[in-house]
Amino acid sequence: MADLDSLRVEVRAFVAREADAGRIRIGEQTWTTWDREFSIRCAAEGYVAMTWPKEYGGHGRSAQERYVVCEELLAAGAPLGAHWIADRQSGPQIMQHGTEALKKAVLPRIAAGECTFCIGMSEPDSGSDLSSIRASAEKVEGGWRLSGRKVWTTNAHKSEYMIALCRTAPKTEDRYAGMSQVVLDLSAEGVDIRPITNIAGVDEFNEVVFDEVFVPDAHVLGEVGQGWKLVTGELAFERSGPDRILSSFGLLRLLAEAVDTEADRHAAVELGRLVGRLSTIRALSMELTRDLEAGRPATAKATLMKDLGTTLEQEIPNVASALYGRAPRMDGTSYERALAVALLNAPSYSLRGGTREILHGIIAREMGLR
Amino acid sequence: MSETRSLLLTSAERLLDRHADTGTAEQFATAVAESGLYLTLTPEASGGMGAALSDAAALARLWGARAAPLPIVELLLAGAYAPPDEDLQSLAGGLAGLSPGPVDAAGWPGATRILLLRGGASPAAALFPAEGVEPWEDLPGMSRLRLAEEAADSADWMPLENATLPPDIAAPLLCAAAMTGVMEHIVEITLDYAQIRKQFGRTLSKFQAVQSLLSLAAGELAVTRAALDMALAKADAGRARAMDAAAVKAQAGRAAEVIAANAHQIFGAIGFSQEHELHRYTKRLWQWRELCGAQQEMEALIGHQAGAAGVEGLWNLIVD
Repeated sequence: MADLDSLRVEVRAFVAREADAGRIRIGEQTWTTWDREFSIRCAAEGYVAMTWPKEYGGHGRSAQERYVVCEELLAAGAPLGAHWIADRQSGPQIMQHGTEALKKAVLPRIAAGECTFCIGMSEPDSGSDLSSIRASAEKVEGGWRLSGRKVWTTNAHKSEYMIALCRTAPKTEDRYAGMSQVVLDLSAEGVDIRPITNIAGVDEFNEVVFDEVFVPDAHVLGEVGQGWKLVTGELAFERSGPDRILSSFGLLRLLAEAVDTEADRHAAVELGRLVGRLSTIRALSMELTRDLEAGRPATAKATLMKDLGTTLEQEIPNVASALYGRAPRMDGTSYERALAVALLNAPSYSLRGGTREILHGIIAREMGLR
Repeated sequence: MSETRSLLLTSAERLLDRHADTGTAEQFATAVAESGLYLTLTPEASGGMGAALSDAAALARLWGARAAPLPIVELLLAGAYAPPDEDLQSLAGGLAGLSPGPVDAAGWPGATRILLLRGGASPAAALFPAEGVEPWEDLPGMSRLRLAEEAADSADWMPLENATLPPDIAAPLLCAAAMTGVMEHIVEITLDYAQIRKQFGRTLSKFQAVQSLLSLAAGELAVTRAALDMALAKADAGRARAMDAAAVKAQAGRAAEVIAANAHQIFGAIGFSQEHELHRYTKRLWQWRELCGAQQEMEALIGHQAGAAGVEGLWNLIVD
């Protein structure tokens, strides 16, 4: 407890230095905002790859310590996009399923904040129905040749690697069989990356086309054909963290400053409702972290947590609008800019990492309804 | 589970199995009096168990899950804060200041005195005679007492100097625990019903729209449980703030809204009938949401602190 408290103090000092230097702007950056220099400084503080073993550049710390660091960085509104996905899911996936050569080559670079990963799941014709993917790899001497396309790939144009889900055997009656996960070097010949601008006017999305890209055998994760099992595991990392609660927190902070809760009872009630809700969903998220660390089953709780957290993230800009009538303006005051960023990004919260409807289906299955 | 808690729960379960569905409130009260369960939070020096708040909350949760008669939360509160020489079995208890309108209390059938409690900077208790106080009852066996709003202002408040936990932390958390038990039961029977009831040739549980209703109910229950457990651990360690209790109580109220609505939606007309058990549970939720810290008061309490914390202090307010 005391250790966690002192770690929190330490992260806050780091965040304060970054904010003083103008590198953190409350409510205007997100955990997908790519800033390599920021990630390298985070890594130098030991805030990347925290729970990994030292031999791979990690720091051998507990999941709870990592949770504290993550939530402090998120609450501050730090730009985490250059290492977030690698730290949260790609690295752990490689740690668990990668060959020794791959682990040695990639993990220390992630831990140093020098290596960005992107997620190769969605395709033009495969969104929620991931088992229908068409990207496929053909066996060749010493590896595989991958062809196909991935889409909505956040920060692919800034990434060194992608973990791509692809078919390594033709589709059969078992739609989940014959898929594999591979670690793809995005600088390889045959990779073409095209930007897609999102509704916030930001170029973080991409379409990634593979034309017979060579992937060495050492870059296949786990057993060939076990891709579905692997990708399900990867999604558990993706759904369980504080990044599913705090995406609009910068705006909530600015709202707490903007409204007069002493004079305006309605504002006090509404603000209190959001803050209370956030603190209780955080309790669930922390319980989940302890479950995961202890190896207890966590699928149902992680799925519920993401659904509740992202719903709150989406509610915050709407309540803010109702309480404090300012139009969203990208060139306005700090509050108006944060409102614009929160409103424009909110639709993605219940899409990325599994849509709300898919989550409800998973929860229903966990409850034994289907 | 601690030894105290498992003894407490075993004894309560035995009592509920034997008496909950039969007999009058008075008969049930006699059984509770004999069991000594109402002494859970009473200090050992006064002949009580001196148990932790989390132990008492486990009892309230079980009580809620059985929709048992007698207001367990108020019995526990009266037992916790009554002056040492007081006859506990003639008391009703209630929390003042955290619900607008008339001051609400409840306790033993035929209670002759009302112990009002208040939290804040100077926690205190005040005793009122119960004669002539207006009773109300909209749940069978759950008679409540209503004091005029001004009663608390003119009361002779005795400071609760030795209380380990102020009433504005204990009361909302115990009430939220009882609500959690109620909601656990509602979710359980609703899940069962959705898997049995068939329409259009399949069980309700196979319809996506119904699955969504149940997912939302399960989510609210999971958050309430996790937040309750975290706040109780803080309370046991002497670190809980009124804001922590308020957040849990407000969450229980929000969960109550979703779970009651979705359960009634899934049960359909049978759940709207007096003969079905569902209303005994949902009515408790609608009532308790506004007692021991009304929903809106809890939210306003958090909101005032959040507003005072502002942009720089908000995160620490949540984490502290």
